[in-house]
Amino acid sequence: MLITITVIVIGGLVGLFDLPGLIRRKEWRETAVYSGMLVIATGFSVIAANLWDFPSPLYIIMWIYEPVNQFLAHLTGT
Amino acid sequence: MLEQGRLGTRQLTTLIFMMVVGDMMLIYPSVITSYAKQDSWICAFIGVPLGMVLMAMFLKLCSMHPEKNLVQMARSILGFWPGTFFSCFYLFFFIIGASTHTREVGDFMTTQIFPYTPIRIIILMFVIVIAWGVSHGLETMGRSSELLMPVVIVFIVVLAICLLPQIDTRNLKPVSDTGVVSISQGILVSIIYPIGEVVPIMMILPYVAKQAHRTRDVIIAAGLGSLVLATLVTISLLVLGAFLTQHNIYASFVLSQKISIGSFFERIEAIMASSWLISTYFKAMIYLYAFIVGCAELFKLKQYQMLVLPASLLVFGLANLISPSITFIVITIVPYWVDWDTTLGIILPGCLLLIQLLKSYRKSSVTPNNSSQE
Repeated sequence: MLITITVIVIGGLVGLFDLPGLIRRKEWRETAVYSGMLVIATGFSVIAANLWDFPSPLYIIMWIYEPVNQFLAHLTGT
Repeated sequence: MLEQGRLGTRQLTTLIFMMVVGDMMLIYPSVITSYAKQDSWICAFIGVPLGMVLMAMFLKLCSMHPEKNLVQMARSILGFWPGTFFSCFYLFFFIIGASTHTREVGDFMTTQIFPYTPIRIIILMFVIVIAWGVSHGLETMGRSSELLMPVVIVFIVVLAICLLPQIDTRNLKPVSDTGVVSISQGILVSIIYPIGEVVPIMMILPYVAKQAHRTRDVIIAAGLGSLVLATLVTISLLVLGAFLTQHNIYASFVLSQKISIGSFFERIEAIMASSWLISTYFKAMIYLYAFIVGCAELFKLKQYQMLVLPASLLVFGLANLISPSITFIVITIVPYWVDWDTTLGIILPGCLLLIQLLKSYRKSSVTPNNSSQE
């Protein structure tokens, strides 16, 4: 729990560092991209810092290339 | 334009050398030997000129749009939405690449040097250093790579020379006994691992000052980098043999532990580790920089500096999540990673280049007057 709170506080501090300037300059597109990335990053970091089980993003790559690899293996006979 | 700074040709070449050598110094001998066994040194040396050809292809693609980075290039060649999709695939590769290199640093440090430190701490420290570098901009990265490259080169040379007394040519026999498929897989790996992973350089090429000999110097730097890697593969085969090279994840580290000259000059593996860390640091930094600049370009933002901190936090999270164990990243993912690198490093830039050439050919054949005026 302490770790989760620490990570969320760090995420909030990062937001406090950059967001006021962006909002003051009325750069809404920048603000949207920044906040989206910050929320995703904080979520991932909470999972990572607590060592919870989470499927690796590399499974997407394995899912994409599994048929290709099987086809190549069939072709070369290995 | 997003980036205000300009790199010189020498800084660009040192960065490219760092990216070719970085992170591959430790794992490349084991990966290539798992495909081509005792003939992998032949594959590695055949891969040197082919890698230079691949680098020339990247430069040719960039020279057709000298003011544009990869995202802008994809959008202007393929159209808006296909280009956006194409760039998203590349950006996913960049962020996963940065996290993978960070994770490899963490895995290496926790298994070989600091066994009692949690991996999260090492990853956090590495990410802080990367974020510090990226937030200072492109020129700083170029200059620091210029400063640190002699350290890397000197240590690789020391490693190669000090192992000369221990080589045994019987380890290379039987020569070319592994079959055509294994050899061609080895050649593919020897192109795609060192040079194919330099693809984020296409994000920084528009920010390089136009100077004479740029193309020649860059290609020579890429060739030198893969030559260094081929030498490392050959030495680890000659000293350790094919079996030990294949089954040691960190073959070069084991090699530097074997250095012992007169029972006096030995235990220099920490210097090897630090030279590997320096080069991996530059590789991860360029990947993170490419991701940030690509994101800013994809959403048409006015600046990119403010994205450094959230992107570094993302790298910290992903580096921990990316593999459940150390074997996943060095054994399970390798065949898929080779495919992914082939797609991103050879097939997609090749397609872009072909489409661009066809377009310019059609334009020049339809309206010959306009092209002569341009």
